[in-house]
Amino acid sequence: MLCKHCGKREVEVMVKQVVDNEVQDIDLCRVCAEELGFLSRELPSITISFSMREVDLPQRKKIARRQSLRDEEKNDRILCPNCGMAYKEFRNGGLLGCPECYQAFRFPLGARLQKLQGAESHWNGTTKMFSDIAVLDTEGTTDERSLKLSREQREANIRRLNDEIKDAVQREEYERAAGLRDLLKAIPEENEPTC
Amino acid sequence: MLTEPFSKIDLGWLASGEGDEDGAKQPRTLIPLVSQVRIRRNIDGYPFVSRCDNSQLYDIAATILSRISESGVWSECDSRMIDNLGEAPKNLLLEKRLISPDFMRGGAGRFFVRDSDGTVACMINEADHLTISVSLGGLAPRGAHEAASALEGALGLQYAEDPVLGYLTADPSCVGTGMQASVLLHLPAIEITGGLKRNQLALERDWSKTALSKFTQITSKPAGSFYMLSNKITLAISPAEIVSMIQGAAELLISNELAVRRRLKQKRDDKLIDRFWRAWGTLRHARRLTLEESLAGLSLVKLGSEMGYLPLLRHDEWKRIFIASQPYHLGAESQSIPEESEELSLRAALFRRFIENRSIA
Repeated sequence: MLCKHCGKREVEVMVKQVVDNEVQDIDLCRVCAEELGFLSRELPSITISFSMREVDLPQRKKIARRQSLRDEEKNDRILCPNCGMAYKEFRNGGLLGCPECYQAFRFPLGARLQKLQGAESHWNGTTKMFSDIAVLDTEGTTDERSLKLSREQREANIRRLNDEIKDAVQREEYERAAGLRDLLKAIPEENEPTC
Repeated sequence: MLTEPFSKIDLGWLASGEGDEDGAKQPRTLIPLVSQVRIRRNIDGYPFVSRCDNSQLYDIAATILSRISESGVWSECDSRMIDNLGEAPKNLLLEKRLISPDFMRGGAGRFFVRDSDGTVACMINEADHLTISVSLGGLAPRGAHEAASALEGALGLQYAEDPVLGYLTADPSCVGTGMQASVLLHLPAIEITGGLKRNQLALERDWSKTALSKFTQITSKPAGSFYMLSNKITLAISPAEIVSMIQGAAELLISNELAVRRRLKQKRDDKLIDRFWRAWGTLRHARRLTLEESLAGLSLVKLGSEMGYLPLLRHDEWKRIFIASQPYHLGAESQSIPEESEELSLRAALFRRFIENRSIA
């Protein structure tokens, strides 16, 4: 959490102030706390170790709520470069504007999908997880429509998967990255049925 | 004998399925009313419906309609622009669950297509470009899915897909398979004995990706013991898994409902038998009936009849009155939309006619 005064450094001092019978919380970094006179340079620094569990629960909830509001405001400003829809519009209406919105809103939408669907991707822990491929596996039938890809589609899929793999590695989601890598390998050749 | 107009009511998908007799040989067929599968798809290269301009919406509709006609999957089909339909026909389609309330409001490029018996229907440019909906009487999610997939494949369209997310839909709660499967179940014994929570917990344990909720699509308030079982998720699951899950969960609920009915029958609970007869009396003699009252009464009368306490109510007759008692179907005979007061009287008259000639043991 960043200092409320400078917005740059991590919070080290939490000050409660009563103004006109109202309690105000001010979260500050050490430098700003000293500048504003809440900490004296002459006084020795006291380090108190405590676990987050010991921190007052309503205060923690308040901090989390503030953080989530800040995230929400940030997300609301994301625009889809293809159709111009703002994430806020989607949040109010519930419907996306175009297929590219999934990519543009991937971070806030990922959390939403996790909540709604219990997953962020159509990958379910096996190497073959696409709906139609899964049907092929269980039903033992062939469906060339789902196995043939045009060159553009194939290249787009490879690009998209590579981006997703990089993203998963950056977020340290190694299991997901491995699944995506398997998917990448499973992408059929251009116009070449695999069965 | 029932009068002509009532027996001629178009049952559509309700006409299909098992259990058209008294259900004595196959009591399991009496519980599920209808299975429905909806597949949502968007054509690649276009924005979703809410961001399409009118010319794009008409392009999409023209593409889908021409593919339907070229594919030859239907020897006969009926396609209509929703804005060209009057209020009464639109509401009749809504009451048969062939279109959604939002789609009924109309708009540019919104078309409705259905096969000759109303089993397979398509909404073009609802929330997604194409919504294929297949409804089959009884417990038949597999058959409904096969029919929907067959049509989807026959159209040969290139749909918006993503290697990570599967089929892309305007509403992220459908992304992945883009498939919603549901079964409408009649579970009065479970409800009467307060076993609903227990059954929901059993579903949570064994079929956690399904949801059971009170059916409120045709009434503003829940009425009668009608429940909708559906899939909660569409992502990271295959259509075949959704179908098996709905089938398995429905079979569990049907077994539990029948087990509770057997226990109730052994107890011969006078209070319950009294409720059956009171419901019968209301439907037999009332002069004004709201839809909620009629569904609640019909639900009890159906259970009483199936448990052998009330005169026999054949499964096909029950389905017919279920459809016929809905507001716009009541006005279908006179080709008009009944006023609210007229609607209550018409419904009461329908039930009196339906019940009056049945012999009471």
